[in-house]
Amino acid sequence: MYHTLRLTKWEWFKVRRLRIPWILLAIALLVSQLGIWVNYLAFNNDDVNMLMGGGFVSYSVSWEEPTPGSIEITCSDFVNDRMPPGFDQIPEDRRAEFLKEMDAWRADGVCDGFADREQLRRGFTLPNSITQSIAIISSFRPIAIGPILIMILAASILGSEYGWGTLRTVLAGGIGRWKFLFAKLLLLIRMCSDALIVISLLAVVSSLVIALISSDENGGIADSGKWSEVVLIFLKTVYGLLPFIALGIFATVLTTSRGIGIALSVGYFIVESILATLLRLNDTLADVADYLLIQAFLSWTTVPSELDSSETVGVFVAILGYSVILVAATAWVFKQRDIGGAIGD
Amino acid sequence: MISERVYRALLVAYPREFRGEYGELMVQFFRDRMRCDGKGARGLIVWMQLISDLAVSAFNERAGGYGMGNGKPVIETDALSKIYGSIVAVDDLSMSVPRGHAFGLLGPNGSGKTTTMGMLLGLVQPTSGSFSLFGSTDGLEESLRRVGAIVEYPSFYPYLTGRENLRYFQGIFQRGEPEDIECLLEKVGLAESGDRRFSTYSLGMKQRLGLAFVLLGDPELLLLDEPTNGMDPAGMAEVRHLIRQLAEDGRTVLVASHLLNEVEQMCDSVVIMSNGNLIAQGSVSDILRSDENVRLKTTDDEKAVTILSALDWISEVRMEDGEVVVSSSRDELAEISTVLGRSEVYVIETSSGPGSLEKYFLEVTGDDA
Repeated sequence: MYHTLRLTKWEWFKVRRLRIPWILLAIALLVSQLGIWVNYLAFNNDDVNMLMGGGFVSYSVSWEEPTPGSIEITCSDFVNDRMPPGFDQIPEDRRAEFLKEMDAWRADGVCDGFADREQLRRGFTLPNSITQSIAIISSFRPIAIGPILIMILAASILGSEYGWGTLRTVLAGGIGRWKFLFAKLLLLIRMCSDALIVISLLAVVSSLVIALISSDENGGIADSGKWSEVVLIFLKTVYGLLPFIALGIFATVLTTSRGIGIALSVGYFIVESILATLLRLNDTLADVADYLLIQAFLSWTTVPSELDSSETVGVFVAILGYSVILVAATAWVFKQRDIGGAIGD
Repeated sequence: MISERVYRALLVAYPREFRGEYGELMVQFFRDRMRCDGKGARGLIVWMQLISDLAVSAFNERAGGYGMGNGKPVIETDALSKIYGSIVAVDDLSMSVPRGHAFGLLGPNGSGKTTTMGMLLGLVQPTSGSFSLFGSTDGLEESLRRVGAIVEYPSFYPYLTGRENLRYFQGIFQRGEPEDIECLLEKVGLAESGDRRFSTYSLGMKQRLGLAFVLLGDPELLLLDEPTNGMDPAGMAEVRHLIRQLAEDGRTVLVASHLLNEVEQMCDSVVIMSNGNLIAQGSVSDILRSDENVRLKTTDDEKAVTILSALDWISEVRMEDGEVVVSSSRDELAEISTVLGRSEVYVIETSSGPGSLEKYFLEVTGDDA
């Protein structure tokens, strides 16, 4: 184990000089912080909120008697059950009519996509901003960007060893194949954890900056959510990404190519999406769809969790199963294969 | 460089044939501490340690440890084969590489040299047969820790500098100390360009870095595949000299090459392969001796050919460029002359030519080469 850890340390020495991990990290940071800042902008601007949520921004009511006047109700007022400013000025006979009309809008769900201010505030205040930024990376729908990024990273790191022929140089020096593979796995898990830590730290910085610039008295450091939720989503995300690391490595070992490895592992996303849709058409098979790799991951990392305790255990076991099977298959293929020279991929 | 001189003197005074396992360890120990800057007080300490080790070594050898690890081939293959589908890359290869020799693996392209090296390094799974490194058939990973190897061409990380590449491999293999890297870069002539990215190196520079890489940690066995490929003549001469020096210092070097002249100059023994088969094996001097010839001009060349062809101790006689060419050493010239004289054929002029590995190679490989 000591040798493998030492190997992992030296892998990092090498990998940190590559561009691809930093590019992928930049993408992850951008996406994660985008969530925080869009929440903040939406909190302060109904138009942005509207853009995010859909539906109407405002509805105006006007009257002529006893004196001409008008008021405007926005989704913000509507969702928060708040009467718009000037509501008292509406004549009595029109007021009932107006409330009735509001009930009709509510029934139509015209503001369902519009987030309430409290929900938006939770998106950019600590510690929930951290939870949100990790969640948006791991399970932002419809594209789970976290798994895609980690699979690209896994295929790149291992595939380049085939491409440059360095795998042969490494293994010829007495580094066992198991150790080499295990060191790569550990490195990717570590990089995944490090990336989530950086995302979390940046989320803290973003929240603090918002606190400084916010005109709202509760600012960006208002207490929202629990710190234990941050730890939980962190651990759940790292665990949930394990099968995707294994999938990226497996596809690369199978094809001995970085490019095809990436294509194959990302292509799995498309295949599984189609398969899940087809399975859900059938009532009996719909449950199976929930335990497909990506579907299981999405439900595992969704915040707040939509799973009951038995479903949580089921998904946990499914993720573990995928990880073990993929790692075992990778190790078997890697052990059997002859190691050739550079292929220039 | 007092220690360097002492070290050289010791190697001469304590040649490898007389070293037992402890002797090898002691020499290894000294090498580890020598580095390329061992001098002054450090050299003195090393020298004292050396004397102490030498005493222990001598005692152990006399006490029954003599010859431990000695005499055993460093590499031994037994009916080693590799088949890819319908292609037999290596067929039933049995060879042994003695300790402390520069050993050439000769063969035309596609003869199975690289595949053989790949199998010895655990990169290629043999279809059948077995091999041992340092007398051990199992624990290949452990054995490979004592091996420095470059197969086919030097493959390093293109985005790292030469120095960083060596640092990385030193780290993962745990071979030597960081300061060794400077020595090695200097040794292979890359001290100036050690901070350039590997991707910017010429082929010759890549080969030089490859040599520095295989020397990391001063391994006992070096496997080099076409080590002078892409080098200029001066570089090739340096590499040949380096390989000779390594073998003289007691390391075993296996060089795969198709450059016969190069192998002839570098190696003590050779294995010649063709189409995956072992065609010939032996010491270079024996091969060259067997290929020696004497050229004669006589009073009657045709009669001379007839007379000499009838002798069972002469393997081959032929006419070439108006001369009688006899496969024989110069030592046998007097006897040849006597035999011809008895039949009234007199030798007018003689010359002798050394054997050539190239000629021998072409003979034994036939059309395959």
